[in-house]
Amino acid sequence: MIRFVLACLVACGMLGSVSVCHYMLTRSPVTEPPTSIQPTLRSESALQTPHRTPDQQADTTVSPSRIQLQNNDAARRFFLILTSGFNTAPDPFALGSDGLTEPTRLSAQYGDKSIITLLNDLLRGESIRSSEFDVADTDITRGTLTLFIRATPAETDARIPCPLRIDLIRADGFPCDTYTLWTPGNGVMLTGEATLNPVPGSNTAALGWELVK
Amino acid sequence: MIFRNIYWIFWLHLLLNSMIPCSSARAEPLFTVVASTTQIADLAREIAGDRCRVISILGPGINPHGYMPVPNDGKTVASADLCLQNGLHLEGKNWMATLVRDNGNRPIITCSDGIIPLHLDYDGTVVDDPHAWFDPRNAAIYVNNILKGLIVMDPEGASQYTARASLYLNQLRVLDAWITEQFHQIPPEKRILVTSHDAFNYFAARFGLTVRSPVGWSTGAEIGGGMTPERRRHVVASIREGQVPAVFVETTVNPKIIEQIAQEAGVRIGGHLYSDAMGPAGSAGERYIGMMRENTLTIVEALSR
Ligand SMILES: [Zn+2]
Repeated sequence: MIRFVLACLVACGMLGSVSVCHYMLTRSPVTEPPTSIQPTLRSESALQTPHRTPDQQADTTVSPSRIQLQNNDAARRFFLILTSGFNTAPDPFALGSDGLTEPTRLSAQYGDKSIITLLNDLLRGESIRSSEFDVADTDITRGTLTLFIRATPAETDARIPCPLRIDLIRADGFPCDTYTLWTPGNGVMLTGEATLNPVPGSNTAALGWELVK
Repeated sequence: MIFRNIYWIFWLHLLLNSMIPCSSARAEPLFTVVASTTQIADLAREIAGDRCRVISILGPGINPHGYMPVPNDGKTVASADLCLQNGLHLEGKNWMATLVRDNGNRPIITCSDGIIPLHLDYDGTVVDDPHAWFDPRNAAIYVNNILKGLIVMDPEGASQYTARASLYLNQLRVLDAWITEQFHQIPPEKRILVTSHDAFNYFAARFGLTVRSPVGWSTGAEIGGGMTPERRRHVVASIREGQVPAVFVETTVNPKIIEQIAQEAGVRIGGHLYSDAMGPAGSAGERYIGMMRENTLTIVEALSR
């Protein structure tokens, strides 16, 4: 009887461990589809207006590093303004570009979050404002966040390197940092990382700071 | 006592292992996909991976325009979970669609759906050019169409098919950029591609070449297909006028005509190009990307001299 119980326990243990191993080897990763955001297109001249009140402007001209955050939520929420130095076009090699559906022209991703998925053409000199997104506390502490950017230049602009400017603005309107990526200029789409500092005033070339001076 | 327990544990272990399939062994394909041509079969294999057995009706070097199906093709199509064809009448007299209709009416995807076809004008008769895969951007449309078909056939494999398709589309993107770079090495006035039949219009349109061929869009007897004396004269005149350094033989077309033209125009044969079918197993042209790469290198080398 003892022998039988012992055999049953061993069998259960082995079956359990083998099943767990089998599950670990064969399970498929769970992925969430990226959300598509309808962007707000803005003209470049409209972007030259800082998104701040006169009081805020006065604060920032004194010392950008002394900006006190009103609350933690405001400190974590940001948006991007992307200004393209080239005409964008649909990416013919995108997943889902079956000639019937509209492929993405430009996209920005932060971690696994899709910040911008542009399905309309963006013309040279035009800008696009993203929706607001939360930055991880660890990135704020480190003073670095990384965005993954993809953009497809139109045939007319594909043979020369063209810039794409990325401005990081805090949700309450304070510009933080700016970064410029360049298209390869050999007919290939732009894929690159933009590393930005989410602390207001960390880069005085950021959108709006030059106007403050 | 201890030895007897070990004895029992040993046999129990063997029994359990025999009940659970070994995860490292390659699983048998779950589905069968039948493609009309070698290039479509290759694109399908890239996306389907080992989940599907992909069979091509045509073998390497077989011309799809004039193909006559054999009884065995019917059996192959009848065993398919999904059939794939090029469309745009590449399969002469729509032989693939007819095979499918007559053998169990299996689901069929037309891979060229959604492309913007090039229109070829033959003495006032306009024909859609079926050789769309020669533009890598169109190959991307083929990939997306095949992906959609596979997901409908096997929803459980969707994440795997999508991952493979995404990776392959990136490879096509790199291929496209690389070919563009290669052709920029040739002066524009020397970018004239003379081949047996009108298979390279999409390739030429994408990479800035001008094409000339004595035979129309099809080697068969369709409108706009076959060789005419006028076309032949026009090709010879173009070679002399453009001081074209070389002409090219296609792997699926009898080289006789193009060899005669080369002799008449006083130019050499620049090499063999994979056209309507890819190369045999073991050759560089066995895969779509290899075929495109080899064609590009052959053309660039011959026209650069
Ligand atoms: Zn053909």
